[in-house]
Amino acid sequence: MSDTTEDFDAQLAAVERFIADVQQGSVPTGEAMRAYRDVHRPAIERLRAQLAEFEALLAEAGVDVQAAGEAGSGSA
Amino acid sequence: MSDAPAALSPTEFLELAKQRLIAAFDGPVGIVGVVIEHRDSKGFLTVTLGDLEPQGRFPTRLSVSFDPRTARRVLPEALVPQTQVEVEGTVDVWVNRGQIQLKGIGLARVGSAGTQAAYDAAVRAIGEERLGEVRPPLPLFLRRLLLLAPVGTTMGDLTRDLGGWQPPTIVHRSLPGDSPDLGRLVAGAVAAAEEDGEGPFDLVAIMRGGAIEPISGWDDLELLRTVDALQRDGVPVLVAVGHADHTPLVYRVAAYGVRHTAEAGRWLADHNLEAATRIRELASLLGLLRVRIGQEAQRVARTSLALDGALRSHLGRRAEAIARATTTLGVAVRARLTETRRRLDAAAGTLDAFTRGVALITGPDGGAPVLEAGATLVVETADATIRTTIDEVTRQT
Repeated sequence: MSDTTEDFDAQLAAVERFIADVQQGSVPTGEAMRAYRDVHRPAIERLRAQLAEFEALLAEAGVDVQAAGEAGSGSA
Repeated sequence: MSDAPAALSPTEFLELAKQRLIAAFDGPVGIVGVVIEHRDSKGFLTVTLGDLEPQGRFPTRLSVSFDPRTARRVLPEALVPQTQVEVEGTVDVWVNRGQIQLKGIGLARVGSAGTQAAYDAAVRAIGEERLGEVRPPLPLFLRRLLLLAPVGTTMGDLTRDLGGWQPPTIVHRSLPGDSPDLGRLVAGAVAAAEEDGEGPFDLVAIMRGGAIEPISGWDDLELLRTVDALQRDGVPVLVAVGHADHTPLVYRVAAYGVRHTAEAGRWLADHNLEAATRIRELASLLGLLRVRIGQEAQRVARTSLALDGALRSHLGRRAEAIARATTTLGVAVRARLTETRRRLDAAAGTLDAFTRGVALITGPDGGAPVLEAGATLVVETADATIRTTIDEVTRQT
């Protein structure tokens, strides 16, 4: 598991690149299914777990995550 | 009128006479005479004195007895027959012999054995031996003095008002007005006073009254060396030797000197009065210092309060700034997390949809499947791998 947001971004980018490759048809369907099963689905699960950790850290730092999120959405 | 009974026994008479005689001499007396003879017995010393100029066919004899402690301080030279001596003692009556005697306090040779040659040698020694080079400073307040002087010497002004301060304690040891043994007598008297637990002394004052011969025991080299030794031991010495037209050599060595005993009293009183004044000034300085410290303490307290307020205000502003920064950062981070979660959910959803219903069918060895009844197929999906057997094959071509 990666410890930094840079690693997180790189892993998410790798998943997205794979999706783009599949959508362009450059990956055979069976191979794509196996890659999803063996590599990218576990990666997505790890990334979900990391995201939960980031949110917990934010809450521990005293930031009202929900309010901050809403304020961020409101100001966006 | 006498209050004595009409008839007395010889002992009663002599006891009464003794009481009256002692009462008549209410202190020590000084006697100058020549030594006729002396006897030692178990440490006690008895010296027989005669007049300097014997009277008639039956010369006068006076016995002086010394207890062992006093006898030890009598110099042997003073006991040689026909030596002129000065004796100090208290009057006593030897009742069972009907004899008047003295209880001796001190005995020393008198007169000067000094010569011009000895005087000149002493002058040279002052320079060669650097006598008087060390002059110990006086303590701020003189509390305890050793006075070496003939019996009856007073220091008049010393007891005058010192502004509430106690006059110094004076320990008196007798010293003849002049003697060729002054050096040893001074050294012995200081040592005896120390041995008796009278010391330590802030000052040793060596004095005598009246005029002296042009060359005397006060010019004697041994006395000069004794004074010098005391001062090298840190004891200041004051001399007051009555003199008219010449100054004895002891003045060149002693750290402090005045002309007369009365002047010595004034000198000592002035010293202590000046000390008392300085101590009072110090006391008022301490008062001023206390006031100043109090003012400084108030200033520090005021400054501390002001600083407390400023610090609290500053810290409050910093806390608000940090809270604002935290909120801003929180918003940014939260937005970033929300976007990340959206991308992650989108990727997961896309891949789920893409692989839903997709299966890869192979033979048991991973190669192309054999399509006939009874053959084994391996079916792989994203969620499971299945081994199955073909029941029936319906070919499309």
